[in-house]
Amino acid sequence: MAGVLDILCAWHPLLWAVPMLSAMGMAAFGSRLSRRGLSWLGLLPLAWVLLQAAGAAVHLLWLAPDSSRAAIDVNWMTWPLFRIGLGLDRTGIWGVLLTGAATLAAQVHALYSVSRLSGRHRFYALVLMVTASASLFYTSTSRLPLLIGWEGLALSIAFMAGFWESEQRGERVGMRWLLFQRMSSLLLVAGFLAFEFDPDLGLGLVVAAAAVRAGLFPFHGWLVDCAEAPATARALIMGTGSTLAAVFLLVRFEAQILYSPFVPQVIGIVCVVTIAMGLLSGLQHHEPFKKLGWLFTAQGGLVMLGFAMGDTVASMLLATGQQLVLTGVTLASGTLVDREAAEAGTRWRSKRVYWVLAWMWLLPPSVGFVGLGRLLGSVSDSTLGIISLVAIFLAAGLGAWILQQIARDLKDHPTELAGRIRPPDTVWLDVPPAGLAALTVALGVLAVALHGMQVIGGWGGVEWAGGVAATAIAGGLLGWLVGRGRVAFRVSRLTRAQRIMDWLADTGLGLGELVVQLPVFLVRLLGVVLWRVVGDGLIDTVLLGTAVRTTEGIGIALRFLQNGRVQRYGLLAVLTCLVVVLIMTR
Amino acid sequence: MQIASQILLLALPVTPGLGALLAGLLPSRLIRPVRALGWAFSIGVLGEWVALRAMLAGGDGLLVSAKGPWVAGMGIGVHLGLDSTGFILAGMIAFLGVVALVGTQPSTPELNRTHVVCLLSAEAGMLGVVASWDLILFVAFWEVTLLPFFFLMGRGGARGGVAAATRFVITSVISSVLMWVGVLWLVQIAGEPWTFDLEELAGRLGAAQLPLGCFWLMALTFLMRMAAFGLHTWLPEVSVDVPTAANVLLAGGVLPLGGFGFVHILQRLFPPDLLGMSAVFTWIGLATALCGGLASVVQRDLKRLLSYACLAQVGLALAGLSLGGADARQGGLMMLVAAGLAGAGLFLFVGVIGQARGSQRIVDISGLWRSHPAFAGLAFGGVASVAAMPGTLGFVGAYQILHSLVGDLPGLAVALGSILAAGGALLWAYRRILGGSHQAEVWTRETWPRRREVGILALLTVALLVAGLLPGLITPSSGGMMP
Repeated sequence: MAGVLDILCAWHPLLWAVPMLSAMGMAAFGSRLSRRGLSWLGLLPLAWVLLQAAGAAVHLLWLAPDSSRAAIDVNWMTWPLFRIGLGLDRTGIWGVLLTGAATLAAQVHALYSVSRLSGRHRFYALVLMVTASASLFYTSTSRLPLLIGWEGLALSIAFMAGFWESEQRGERVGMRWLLFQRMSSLLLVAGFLAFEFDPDLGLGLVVAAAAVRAGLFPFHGWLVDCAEAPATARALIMGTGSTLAAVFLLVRFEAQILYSPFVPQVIGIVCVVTIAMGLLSGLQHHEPFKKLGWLFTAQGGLVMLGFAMGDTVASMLLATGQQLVLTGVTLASGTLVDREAAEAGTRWRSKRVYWVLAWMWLLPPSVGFVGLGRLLGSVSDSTLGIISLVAIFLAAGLGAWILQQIARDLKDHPTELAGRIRPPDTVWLDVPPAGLAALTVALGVLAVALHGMQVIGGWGGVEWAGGVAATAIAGGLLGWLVGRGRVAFRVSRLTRAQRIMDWLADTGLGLGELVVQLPVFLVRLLGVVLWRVVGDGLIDTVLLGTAVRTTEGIGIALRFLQNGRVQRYGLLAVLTCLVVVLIMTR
Repeated sequence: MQIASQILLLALPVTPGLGALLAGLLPSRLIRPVRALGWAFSIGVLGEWVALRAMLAGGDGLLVSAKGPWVAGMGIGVHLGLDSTGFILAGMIAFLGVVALVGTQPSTPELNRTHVVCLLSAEAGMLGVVASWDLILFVAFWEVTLLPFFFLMGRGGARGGVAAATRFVITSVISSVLMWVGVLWLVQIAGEPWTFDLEELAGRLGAAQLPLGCFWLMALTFLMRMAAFGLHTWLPEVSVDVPTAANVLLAGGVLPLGGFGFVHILQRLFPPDLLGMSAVFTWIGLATALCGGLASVVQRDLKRLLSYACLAQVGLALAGLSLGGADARQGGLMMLVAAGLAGAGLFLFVGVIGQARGSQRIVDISGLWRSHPAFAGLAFGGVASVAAMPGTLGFVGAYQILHSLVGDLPGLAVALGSILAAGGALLWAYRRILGGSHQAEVWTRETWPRRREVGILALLTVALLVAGLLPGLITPSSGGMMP
């Protein structure tokens, strides 16, 4: 058994090679496969990834706990500046396991939800590519595979995001994500380069790359647009593609971040502002999926607070909970919308799954609760610490309120795809979210079982987390009562408060749009100036045009001079001038 | 072994020339035999390069050389040779010759013989440029490429093709005149006995005070050919209206040859820091890259967008070649090769879909993901390389250049901005033509793409990806490429 697990660890490149090859096969031959064949080809590689990662986890956690890396590292020098280094450690396994679980759930959902749409085999292939890219990213020990994985994750999701949409919508949904992630990739490259001459600048650029990927303020604008994507793509964006990858990246730079004098403070401020902006905007009257996007923005800020408090384990635990829960909530909410014409009993089941997941986010014994306790135990007595504390409570209470609003609004919300999807009436659409809920609980229990109460910040952390959970329950209850009309507010107070909140939310939304639109506008303006004004106008028309016109003019003049009459008159004029000069000089 | 390598070296420019001659002698009605002849000769050239690759050991300086007298009294000789830079570019040109011949065909069958003759002649000229170590030979081969391009561009049948061809020829003739004057001036400075041999000139001119005017005459030649900022306007105008084969060789041969001349002639004859102006050329390169990137963002014609994206890559390459240091120059060379391969592949892709759709405008093309997923998917290799995505050759070159710009924050910012702009524009266009609904009735060509077009595009994509992960495969030496 130990030998088998050791082999699973040693052959860790299979974690990305298997799904990648399967994706290629799916894309090439998927149109010829039966539904069962598609299911096997779509699920088996993901199951393999989970099994291998689980086996490697057992090996590294119990059988060889003193080794922080797997038995084999693949170092392949291809060029002086590049090295393909791959290895497996606990952090990497954590990332692979979570991604495997999320993508398996998403794939099962996709196998049923989009089973009647054309080109679905390519969609399944893209889900496999997400797994392959993520596995490569999490098992990288050098820059090149890390960048390939980072980029591959973004690309795969970008193509999934607008897969069946019309040109305009798909372009907006997918392209915004892609362009922002391109920016984050280039920031990451710049950060790696800057490390060599200015480590602080390099660290700042790496953190900026992570912030763009996680959708922190002011780079949050793309996140809300991505709420328009199909449920599977949405789940993977919110779960695997953004915050989880950003947290992993920052964990790799944990030492530099924690010892930096200013980076934790900057992260803290950005996270608090993100939480505030996300909650305020989420409470406004938006479509439910946009509210989910705003909620995700706020929760992303909450997750990253761990780095500000100097506790990366808290961030990892919160990211785990957020990823599992939000992936499940997104899948479940997608099911609820797609089944608007379904039987009442089916909707009852899906709605209960939605609620179980939503509450699993912060209630014991979920992993999110454990992470929250640990985070609250790390909060300092400084001003930022107190503000962060307030922000955490608000995130819990208002977050639950927003979730309640989403559930209420979903039934009235049609999507572009809803009419075309009509998924079959099967329990398998609810199994993935339910499975993720169970995993959230299991991981929370496992964390406490393995590491004791210290993982949750001791009993103090439990008390704080309990307080936050109670706030979440209160917020959800209040949201339910307001929604049902059981609690009435005086119209004038509500209007004034609502107006202020609308303005704040609009400003936040506006700032998010400004970060997108202003640079794009400037780039387009400069592009037009360089193309039309400098290129066509200055260089072609003025400079080259002057030379060409002058040459043409000389040619015309020479042709003119070849005319016999002109020559005669010219000669006569010259002779006359000579005679006049002679007479005058005599 | 040495004789065998010298024979192969001589055969490199001669083989396509011979092929052009034979194809020209065949009757134009023999379409298939002429095409087969063209394919055979172009593949033969590639085979010669591969054989040479297997024979050469690598290292600095000349890897293979063949020298003989020609006009001895005037110091003109036949000196052919390949250093590591020339070797890599020769390989790229040989490969793209195959791409252009096999992957494209003329707009009408009557133009088939002209198509083959022009492509082979252009290939012969470009290979001659790369292999020339005598300045007279260099200029001669430089001129030889003009005529085939003129006919290739002008007889393509596209509206505006003749105007584009004329513009290209005028630009090239001006650059050639500048080069002639510069060469003669240099030879005169070197003194008697006259010599046009590059090695001897470099030795004689070594520590001499070289006039700035002579330097700028030569520099402008190569900057014009590379379409550097200020001299770049010909490239987008020419790219739009010419046939696909001309676009392929323009992106893959003409532009990189400007960079080759910059390294092979300019950096060899003038002091390593280009008379103290390496920073100027670096910023010309960065300005070119930024101009290309920003202008590509606002384009709505696919070919014009591609030409500006190629401009961005070539500008980065120029910056890398001017920076100094082995890493930067290697990065510049890698970038030139990436620009050539990616540009050729993408122009081929755009040419095929433009012909099939009857339009090159982005808004007119959509739904390729559904109708032709394999063909569209293969083009992503080129897109990823232009966007400098990790795992591609474009990333290798870009990273090395960016690494060399570390410490110069404005330069680094400009370079990153140009990569983001050009890559973003291309990704947007790619995403746009991939997605959406596919309306079969508006596509004028019923069956497309041809299998050989898909095969050629696949080869280019594989080359970009393999070279991106194993760049050592394409160079016989891992060390510097300095003269």
